[in-house]
Amino acid sequence: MNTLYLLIIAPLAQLYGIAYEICLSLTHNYGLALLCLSVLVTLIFIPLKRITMGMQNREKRLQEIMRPQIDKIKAESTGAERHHRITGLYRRYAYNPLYALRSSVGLMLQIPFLIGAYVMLSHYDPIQGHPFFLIRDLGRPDALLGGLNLLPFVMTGVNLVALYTTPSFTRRERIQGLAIAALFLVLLYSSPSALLVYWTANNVFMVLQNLLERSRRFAGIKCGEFLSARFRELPRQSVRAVLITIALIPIAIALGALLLKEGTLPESISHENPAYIFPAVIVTIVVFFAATFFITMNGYQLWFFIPWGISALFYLRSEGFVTIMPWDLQAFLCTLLVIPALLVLWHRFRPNRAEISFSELRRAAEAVFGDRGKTVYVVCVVTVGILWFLFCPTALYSSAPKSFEFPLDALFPYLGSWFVCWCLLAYLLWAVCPAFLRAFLPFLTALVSVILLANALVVLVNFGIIDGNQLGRRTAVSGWHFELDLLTFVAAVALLVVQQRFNATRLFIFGMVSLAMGLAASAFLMTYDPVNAAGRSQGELEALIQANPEGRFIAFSDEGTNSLLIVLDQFDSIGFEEHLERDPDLLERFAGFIWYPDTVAAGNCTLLSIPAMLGGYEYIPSAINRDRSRTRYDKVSEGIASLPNDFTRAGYDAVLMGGLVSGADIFSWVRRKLTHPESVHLARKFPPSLVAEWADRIGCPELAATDENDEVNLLLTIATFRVSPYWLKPRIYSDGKWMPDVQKWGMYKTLRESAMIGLLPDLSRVRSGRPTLTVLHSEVSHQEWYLPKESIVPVPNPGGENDPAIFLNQLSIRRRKQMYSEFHALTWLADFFDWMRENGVYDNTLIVVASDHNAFNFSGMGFFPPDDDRIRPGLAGSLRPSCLFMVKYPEQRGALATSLEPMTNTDTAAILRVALDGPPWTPPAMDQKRVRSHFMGHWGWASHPDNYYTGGEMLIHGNILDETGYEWNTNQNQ
Amino acid sequence: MKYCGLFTCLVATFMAFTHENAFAYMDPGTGSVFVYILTSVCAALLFLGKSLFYRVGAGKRLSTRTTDSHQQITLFSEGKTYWFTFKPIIEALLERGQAFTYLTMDVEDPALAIEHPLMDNRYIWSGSAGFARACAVRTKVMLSTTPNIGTPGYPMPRPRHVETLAHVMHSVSGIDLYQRHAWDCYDAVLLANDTFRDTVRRLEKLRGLPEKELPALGVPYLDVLLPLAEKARRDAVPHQGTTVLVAPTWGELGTLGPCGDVVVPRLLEAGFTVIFRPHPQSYTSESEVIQNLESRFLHHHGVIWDREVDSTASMAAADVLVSDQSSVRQVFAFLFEKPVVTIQKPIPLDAFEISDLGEEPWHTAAAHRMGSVVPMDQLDDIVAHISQAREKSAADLAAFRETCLVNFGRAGSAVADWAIARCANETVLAGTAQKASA
Repeated sequence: MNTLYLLIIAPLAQLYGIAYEICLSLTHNYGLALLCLSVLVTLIFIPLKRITMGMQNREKRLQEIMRPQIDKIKAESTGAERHHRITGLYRRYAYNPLYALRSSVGLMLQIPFLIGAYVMLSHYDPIQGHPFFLIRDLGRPDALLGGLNLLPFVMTGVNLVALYTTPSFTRRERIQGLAIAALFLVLLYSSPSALLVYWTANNVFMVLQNLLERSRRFAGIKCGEFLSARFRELPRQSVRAVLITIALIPIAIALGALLLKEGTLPESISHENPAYIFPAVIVTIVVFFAATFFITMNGYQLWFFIPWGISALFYLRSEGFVTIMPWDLQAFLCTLLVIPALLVLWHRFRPNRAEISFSELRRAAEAVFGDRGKTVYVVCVVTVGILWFLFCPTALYSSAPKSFEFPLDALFPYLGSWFVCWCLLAYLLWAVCPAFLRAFLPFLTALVSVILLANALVVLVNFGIIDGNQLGRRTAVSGWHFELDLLTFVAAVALLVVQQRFNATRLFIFGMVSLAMGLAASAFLMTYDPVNAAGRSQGELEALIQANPEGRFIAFSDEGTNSLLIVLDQFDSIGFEEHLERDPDLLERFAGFIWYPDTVAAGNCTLLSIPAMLGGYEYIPSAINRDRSRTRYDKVSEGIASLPNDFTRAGYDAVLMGGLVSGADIFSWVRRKLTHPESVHLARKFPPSLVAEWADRIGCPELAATDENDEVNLLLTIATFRVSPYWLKPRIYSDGKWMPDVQKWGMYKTLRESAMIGLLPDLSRVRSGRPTLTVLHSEVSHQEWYLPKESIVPVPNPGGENDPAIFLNQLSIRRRKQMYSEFHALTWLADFFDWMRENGVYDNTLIVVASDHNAFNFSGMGFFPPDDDRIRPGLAGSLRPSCLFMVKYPEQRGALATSLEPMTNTDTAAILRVALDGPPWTPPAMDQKRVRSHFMGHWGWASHPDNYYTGGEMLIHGNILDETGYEWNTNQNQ
Repeated sequence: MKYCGLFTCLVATFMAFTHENAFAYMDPGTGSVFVYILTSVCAALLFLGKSLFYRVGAGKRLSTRTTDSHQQITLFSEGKTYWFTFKPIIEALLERGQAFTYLTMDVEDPALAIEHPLMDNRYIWSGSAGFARACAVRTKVMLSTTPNIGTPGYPMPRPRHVETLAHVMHSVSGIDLYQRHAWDCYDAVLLANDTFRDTVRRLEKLRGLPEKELPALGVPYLDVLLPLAEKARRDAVPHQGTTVLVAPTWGELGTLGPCGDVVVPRLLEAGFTVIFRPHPQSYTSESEVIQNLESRFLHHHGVIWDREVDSTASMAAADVLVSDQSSVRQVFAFLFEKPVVTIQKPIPLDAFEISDLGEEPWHTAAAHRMGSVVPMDQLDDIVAHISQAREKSAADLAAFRETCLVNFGRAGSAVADWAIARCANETVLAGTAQKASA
């Protein structure tokens, strides 16, 4: 039932929601917006009602034809013979008594719309508390009659008027209608006023339609007929006239731009009502048509300009339009301009075609697909739908299932709901589109689908990984790949023109592509194991929390020597000193720690570093590649498992928590390698309840309310990014914010990762008995920060020198966010260490705080200029092989110290094992074969099941600050 | 059943008092449809129950399914427009006791009203669905008035399980003004007369096509019109003066505009009585021209505006017909034996078979034999051309008819006999082949 709801009602409720938001942005009044919505819906339903009327007439005609024959049969025969003859009659007319329902299909189609409207309006919280006319609160019953509700009676009254003005109703239907009106008076008596205002308005419009129909002036039909007739009549127009028309578009644009310019209109209009653009647009239309009239007064048909005029208006891609109209609608309407112009040019260069007319353009558009236009439209709509809403999101999800909170089988119905929504929109477009424009739809749709297919599957510029909610190569987004768009467009047009010659293959190509994409998405879904993908680790952590008093599942023994490893993903060692300068207290709060600034990271991404951090130097990528006898998963999981195995063998309990390695279900492999699995807890994701608690604490409870929709929105936005032309990509990307919902998704991840560190004091306890090994991996420093700053860290001296907001503002946006995240991570860690001190487990715990790699400009595919000029090339530039590395041995005292000892983060495991050896607490002797090397690659390459495929290995022979000591070793993949 | 709606309302009202919330809102109109849906479902279930009951009681005796014998001959009609072509064939087949199938794409086809055990008549839906069903037919002989079956671009490919696909003529003409390749996929074309055979053979040779069967069997629809014409002639009221029937066809080949602007005014000036009969399709496709002409002639005392479905009364009343490429000319000349003035409108011949033949269309010569021909630029002289046409006597026209048509008045029987014989031959051939292979 839920799936049915998602596939049928949810898309409609979404459409209603979008329409209502648009109405709201125009009117800025919740009540007026309801009336606007009602007008809009009534207009959209006109074609549906016409279809319904057509179906009813056909059914009625069939009944008229069969009725005399049935009467004759009834008069001539009885019993079995009569039944047999009537069956024969039905068979002759291909009729079945159930087919009587066909005539009500059109109206049945309305029922989901009605439910969709109900769902949207009854769940639209922002409407609460807003008055409209005499109604004090649209979110509550009106209580206008001294406590009694007036609107239900008004609605019923209008209902009755509608009932008695509908011309086609019989007496019996009116009685039924009466009963139904009474029924809904009872059902909706206590409904919010908004619902009743909307439906009353709907019924008022129905009454108006009935009255118009009665007087044979049914506006919708007459208007359509009128326009069709005008277009049929259009005389031949010269190409010159068309070119003049096109030349007038810039004039309209310039005029619109002038009107929209700050200061042109009075502030009372432009500031108080953002919809002031509409007066501007109306003036533009008037001037545009006046200009065309005077320029081509000599018998020129103004009707000719309508499509161009409308398109021109949508070229006014100003701030006003951005806020009012969704970008995709703008893009679609802009594309409309290109198509007729293209057809004009096409005709212009055909021999013996000096003159053109609209009917010829229409014929040209129709000729592209011949009589299969409708089939092509359907196939293309389905192809685009599968590509956009099923294939691309599924492919994206499958590339990193661990990044998502929900398993794909939970998201799939939502994706399906969008697919249905898309098909519905396409159907509505077809139904609403006047006949003279409908001829262009197959051509247009085919063109769009070819461009989308090309963008999604053929022309792929490398944007780097989509990490968090930022692209790795943000600079690639802002670049204008005009040549690619032009090439794609020309290729698509050429393909459509060429395919005209190959009649049989055109549908075949689209059909096959669509089928292949559908099969790929289905195959993935069928072979995908949702338990492995998302559920198990989280379930295990929840069990662990429940099993421990107050949920404090991280234990520290007050008897033995505990080991604690905190991996701060992508913590950039370059800024560490700055953090200490901004908050000198950290030096004391990190007492006993030694910071090693000359530390080399094993790899430039998590997957290349983590196995070596937990397993030691023998698990660096080149070492793993040398062993060809096993899969990479085998080797990586063995590396990760080696640390807990050593500790559990020595009588420790172990907890490994966090992603560790994204992009693969590595924990299920690690579990197989554990020698004492009963003593080890593996937990990947933080439970939502803890995330919510954390969000409450930092004052952002609304951000913790994530659901499947957020992830679906992210998938769809990135899918949209993938399929769209390059000139649209920057708008979709919108400086990494994607869309508000997606940002919300990103925020949830930020919350989860920050909760893992921030809640450590609340989740830890001290116990006697077995010492523990705790490995935490948090991406808090990886997330670029969107949380309100004030809600996270109290600013000690607001506006002063140490105000994080001040010093962070001096950096580039991205770097600033990174620094901000890191600063918070350190602050929370310091809080946790304070807790450890207070509870007497700081001294007896060996702690390593390290990052797996630096936050260099994460291209994933190589090395590109950094976003921030202040970050220099070399060590502090895009290539920065260093990482954060701090160690606190047990019983170490004194402020945080610095050591210039050359280290690598592959030393982590060896240092942690010192806890097993007992005092004296001295650094371990490092392996003589150890070489400080840094592997570079893309996590996509690295996630190959057999081996790492890296871009190269950087050997650091001397001090990391001395770039002359760097040596490339590109022979790593062998 | 008739209380079903009321019952539903009562149930709904009861539910209203037992449930706190609505889950949607329905206006009374939609609510009535909801009730209608429930009523229809009940009716359908009742009908299904009856069917099961009688099937159990009567077994297969009451089956209405198609039998093998029905599949020998199939008549395929695109719509009720071709009813007059198929009617004499159907009657002849039934007279001969031959079972057959009749498929139509028009729910208003009068053939569907025939209830006969030998006739398996069915509506197969219109549009692509109808063509798809027609394509799936298994039969020995399929008779169709539809040209172009199997031509690239036409929605209906040649049915694979039809042994002989035959085209039945629905007008007196040869192949020359059919669209190019219109008959290429046919196994047989039932010609109006032997004289049309040569052009078909030449085209076959030109394109390297196998020779198709080309029996001359006549035009069946004239079988139906002949008695109607005789009746109309009998019923016609004798009149004074000359009455001219102006009946242009529609579309690009038609001359509705020029007829209204020039021909009718000239005829009225000459004192003729005019019966103006536009093609029924003109009322839809050329509505504005029609409106214009109606404003001028609908209430004109010298003009009788004819909108009747049956044109025979007008034909009987008229002395001369003025028309263009319409096939009404042959009906007028051959059934009423009265002269015809043909308005010669230049036609781009590229799309027609005649363009490959490189000769003058048969229609051009035929127009002269039926009366006279007036070019578009000489419409002002229409009266003179009428006088010239009236020089053709009834005997001349009857003689011309004999050269154009065989089996006049009994073409339906001839087509039925041919189809039955074709089936029999095929059966024998198949049997022989089976014996030979055994």
